[in-house]
Parts: sequence; structure tokens; C-alpha cells
Amino acid sequence: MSVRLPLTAFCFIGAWAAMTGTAVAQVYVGHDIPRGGNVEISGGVAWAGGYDLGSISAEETRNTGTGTGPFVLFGADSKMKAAAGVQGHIGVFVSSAVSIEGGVLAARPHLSTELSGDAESAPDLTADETLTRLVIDGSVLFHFSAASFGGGRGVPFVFGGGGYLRDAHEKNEVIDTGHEYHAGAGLHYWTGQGKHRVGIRADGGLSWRTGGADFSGTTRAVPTVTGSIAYLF
Amino acid sequence: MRRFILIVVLVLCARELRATVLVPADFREVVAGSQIIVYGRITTVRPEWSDDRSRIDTVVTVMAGSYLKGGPAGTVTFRVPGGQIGRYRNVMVGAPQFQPGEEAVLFLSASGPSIAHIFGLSQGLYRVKTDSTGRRLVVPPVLTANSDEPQAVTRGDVNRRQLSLDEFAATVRQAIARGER
Amino acid sequence: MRRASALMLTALMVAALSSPVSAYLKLGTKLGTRTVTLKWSQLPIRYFVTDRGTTGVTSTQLQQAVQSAFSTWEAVPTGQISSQFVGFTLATPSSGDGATVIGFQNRPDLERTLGATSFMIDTTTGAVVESDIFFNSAFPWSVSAQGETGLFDLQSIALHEIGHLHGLAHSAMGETELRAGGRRVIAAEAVMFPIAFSAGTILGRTLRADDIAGIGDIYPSSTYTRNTGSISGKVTKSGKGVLGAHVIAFDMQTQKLVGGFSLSDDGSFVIAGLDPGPHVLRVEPLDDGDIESFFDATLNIDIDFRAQFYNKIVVVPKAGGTGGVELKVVAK
Repeated sequence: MSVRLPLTAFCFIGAWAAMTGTAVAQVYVGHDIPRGGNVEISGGVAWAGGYDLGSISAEETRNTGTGTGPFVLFGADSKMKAAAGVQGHIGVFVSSAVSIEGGVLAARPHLSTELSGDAESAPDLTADETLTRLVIDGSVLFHFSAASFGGGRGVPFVFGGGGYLRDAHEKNEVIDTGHEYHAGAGLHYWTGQGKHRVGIRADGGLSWRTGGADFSGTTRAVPTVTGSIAYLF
Repeated sequence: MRRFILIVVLVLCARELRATVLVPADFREVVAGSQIIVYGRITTVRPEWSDDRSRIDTVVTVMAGSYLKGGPAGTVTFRVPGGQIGRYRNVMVGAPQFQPGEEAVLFLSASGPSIAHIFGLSQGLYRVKTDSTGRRLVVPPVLTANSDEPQAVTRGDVNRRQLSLDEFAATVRQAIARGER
Repeated sequence: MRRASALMLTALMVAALSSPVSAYLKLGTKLGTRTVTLKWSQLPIRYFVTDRGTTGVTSTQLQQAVQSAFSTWEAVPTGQISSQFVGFTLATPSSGDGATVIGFQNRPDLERTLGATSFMIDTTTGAVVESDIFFNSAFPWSVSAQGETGLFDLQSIALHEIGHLHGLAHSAMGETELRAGGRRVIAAEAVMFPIAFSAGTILGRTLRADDIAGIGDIYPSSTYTRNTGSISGKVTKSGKGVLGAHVIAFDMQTQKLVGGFSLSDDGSFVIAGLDPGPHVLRVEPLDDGDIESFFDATLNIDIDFRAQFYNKIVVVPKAGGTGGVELKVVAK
């Protein structure tokens, strides 16, 4: 046996070791982190879409012989405008694929009512107020590690949950409360090495809201988008 | 009669008694329904018990400044419900009250020998007030239809203003002339 | 002689009333330099009915219509009032007998007046020794449940006049038009509007939010205090207060309309008895006719401005008030 065989074996073993080492480097997060017990904290901005609160009329009882239907003194067309705010989450991974988290969102949406069509020609005008909105919620996230990309850095997820809605009117004298349910999808993109990771998180979905500052008991589907800096440890 | 002691209240939101249910007339009807239309100054206000002493009315005398309809005399007298005699005040909610020295244009109805009354309780009363420039203005604004079609009375109508005494008199004369055609 | 009913005026310290604590236009009378509000503090209100009918209406039907009207006011949950029919009387309203009498009277001298409420006041004590309501039998009347063409609904007018009997003044919550035959209501959202609906209709038998707020304001039940709120502020023109402006609060959730008036020279107003929640406000002048249906002739009511909305949504708290509203109007 010549010395070439051991060298060949060494090269092969070395090559194998090199390849496996490279594979470990490529599986950045997905295979060994996160796992049950890891904690993620994130915070950033949020945006919620606006929605129509409906049109109503100020009506007076019509005298017989003066026409049909109630007498309209004026019309009122109301909207909740889209608003940006700040949000934060803290979550715990119960496994590498599933995490549960609690979150809080604060925003200052704008409620406006367009007053028009006055029977006595009062000029059309928009009456408005700014609310202080708080949403406290809980969610379950399912992370699709198998669908990760970018060397395992990018990990999509889906989420669903529910929460408590609190709208304080101007002067904070009146509080309207309600609840919401939400569902959507998002993406983590992690950087760094080691047990502690920093990344960015983005998600979008729908929030079904009932109550809060509203003129009816209607449940409204509101699109939401968030962007955060996330820290995993 | 039982009496109860009043402990007096000053309530900023209470106002002198003013209330009844009306079937209001158009200005042209007030003009047509009045036998006397007079501008003048209130000279005397004399309350008196009704014949059956069940209520108090007030007899008001006006020194006539000018007549727009009827009335050749220098003074004219009319009666309004309500008034005070001694300690008792009778108030008919909606009936106007007068003080000597006030000026007004009065639309009065009379039937037979009885003392005249204001058309429609207070619908025939247009008080004359003097503004800061000394101009005499008639209150309230005149509401009169410009055609036989129904016309909504719009609050805050920029075209509706208090008329001067001369403008008001001209409006009355126009209404009289239309009624005579 | 039947026992006299009497209207006792409430006891409050003058010093405690530094600003309007309630809003609805109430009936009052001047005693010397003071204006005194009228309110029954001894309930039930005991009343008699004149035992005389008119064409198409018997005295029994009159009494039933009056009783129905009293019951309608008493059914208001935010109010606390009661009445008692004592019996029929031969006395007419305003007969000087010291009793509250409701009945028909022929008053051709009061053309265009369907009905009226009167009070006899002892000015030395402030006591109201008599309060009566008459319905003018010079007009045609009906008590039909559906109304009768050409006839005025007695229960509707009784409901209005009994509102006055309780101390309520007029509401300005209505619109009118001029037409052949006079001025007519196009629409009204208060029984206490001073002009009646047309003959033949029974629309005036139902209290509206404005009426309910008013009766609760004078005779509040615990429900009124717990469950309603108020809006206060000022109406101004070029920085100066406007007296006698009509302010309307429109509830965005219930779509109720409740009105109030600026009752002082600085333009201050309060609208009370409102359901909690968001409201929009609107102000208008009382330039559409008989100002003396609402205010004393000696007051300098400002009618020279245009109708106007307020540019903020005003949220009424429960069992509280929201203030600081300034409704700025412009001259015509």
C-alpha cells in the first residue's frame, strides 16, 4: 500500500468534513434555532386601513300633506381614516415551528363626519376628532422553516389571534371598547450568528373589529401591515 | 285656596312664560284679517278683572303715530289676556305683555262694540326697536309668501332681514293693495 | 268646593346657581328682578276636567284624551312625574277657583290659538294658585284613534299643553312653510314645537327625544342622572356672545335630535339629557317668525346670522358633561 491511499482518504474525509461544515453554515437558523424556549421581542410601526362608518341623516317627522318620507335636516357621512401607529410584541417559541405572543398597538386614528345637504343652507363642513386607540392582543404563529430562503435567514409565518380594542375620545372623557380577531402572514429575516439573533419582521393581514368608536355594532375588516425590528434569544 | 310658600329660585335658564299652540297666519292674512293697523306708542297699560272675575286681562292704550288701515282716532285701545292686579298675576302663556313707552305696529281685530284684540294672540304684534344708529326697526321679520306655491321658511335666510319702519309700512300697504284687487 | 291644587316652586339656594345647570327652555316668571322657574314639587298633579264637550267630543272623551296625554309624559323613564284626575267640574279653565282645570272654551278673540295654558301667581309668596288649560272650541276637534280629516287631534294638543303645565316652554325643533291659508309645519321633531301639525293627523301624540330630554331636565329620575350627559359651550359672533341662538345636538349613534338655546348675553348654552356618545352640533337663528313664542320681548335676541355646523365631533360622557364648545357664527 502506498502512502497515496491514506492521502486520498484524508482528502476525502477532509472534503466531506468541508462539505458538511459548509452545510452547517448554510442552515443559518432553521435547523437548530429557534427552538422551544426561545424568546422573540419585536417593535416597530403599524398601519391600519380606514373604513366607512356609513351615512345617516338628521330627520324630522314630516307633516301630512307636505311630502313623503321624513324631512331631512342634513346628512352625515362618516369615516375612520387610515392611521399609522407603533406596535410591539413579545413571544415565546413552544417549538421550532410554533410560537405564541402578546402584542400592543397604539395609534391615533382620525374620525371624520362630512355634514352636508342642510335644509337651511348651513355650509357643508367636516366635523372630526382624533382618537387614541390601543389594541392589546394575543396570537399564535406558525413558522415555515421548511420554506426558508436566503440560506435559512428568511422564514415565512402565518398568524392568528384576537384582542381587546380601546378607543379614547378627545379629552379622554369617553372610552369605547371592543374586540378584534386577526389573521395574516409575515416574514422574518434574521441576521447575525450565535444564540442571539437580530432581524426584521414584516407582516400583513386583516383585523376584524367590533365596537370601539363606531356608530353601529358592525364588525369591520380592516387591513393591517406592520414592520418591526426583532430580537431573538 | 291653599297656598304654598315659594322659596325663590334664580334659574338662568327660565324665561318669562311664553307658550301656546298656534295655527299661524301668513302676513297677508294678518293684514286682511285686521280692521285696524296702527303704529304708535303705548301710553297706558291697565289690568282689569274679567266680568266673571275669573281672570285678569289688560287693556292697552296706544297713542297713534300713523294708521295703515282703519282708525281715525288719536288713540286706539285693545285687550290682551293676562295682567296683574294687586298681588295676583294672571299669565296666559303666549300672550304678549306691554309697558308704557314701547312702540309697536299692531294689527287689531274687533267685532262689534267689544274692545279690539291683537290678531292671532301675538301674530299681529310687530315691536319697533331702535338700533344703535337711531333707526327704527320692526321685529320680527315679515314672513310673506311671494306666490301661491308653498315656500319653505328657511332659518338664517340671508334675504330675510329686519325691516325699517318705513319699509315695513310699505310692505303692509302692498299687502293691503293686493288684498283689495 | 274642591280642594285646590297648587304648584310649589322648588327650593334652591341662589348662591349655588352660578351657571346654567340645565338646558331645556323652561317656563318662568319675573318676581321683581328675579326670574322664577315653574315646577311642581308636590306630585301627583291633581286636575279637574270641565264637564262640557264640544262638537264631536264629549266631556268623557275629553277626559280620556287628557289622561292619555298625562300618561304619555309619565311614561318617560328619565322623568319622574305623576298626575291624578280628581273629577269633573262645572268650572271652566281660568275660573279663579284655585283648581287646575282643563276644558273647552269658546275664545273667538283668540283666533289661530288652538289651546293655551295659563297660571295665576301670588306675587308676594311666589305661589301659583291656579293653573289651567283651555282648548279653543272655535276650532273643530277629534279624538279618533286614526285622526279625522279637517279636525285637530285633541290628544296631540293636550300633550303639548300638559308639557307647558309641567313647566316646559317651546322647542324650536321644526320647519315651516308659507302657503295659502297661512304658515304650516313641514316637519317637527318635538311635541313642544309651537305650531301644530295639520288637522287630521295624530303625529303629535308621540314624544320625541327633544321633549324627553326636556321633561327629564325638569323632573329628573335617577335614570336621567346616571345615564345621560350634556354639552355646554357658547355661541359667538365676531367674538361676542349671541343671545337666543338655537343649538341642535344630533346623536350619531341613535340619530336623535335634541335642542337648546343660548340663554345669556355671553352666548352660553347647555344641552342636557343626551345619550352618551358622539354628536354633531348645528346652530341657527330664530328669524322665522314669532320670537316671543320662545323669549320675553325685552330680550335683545340676535337673529342676524346664518345656520352653521360645529367643526368637531363632540362626545357626551355618561353622567357627565363635555364643555368648551364654541360655535362661531357669521352675520348674514
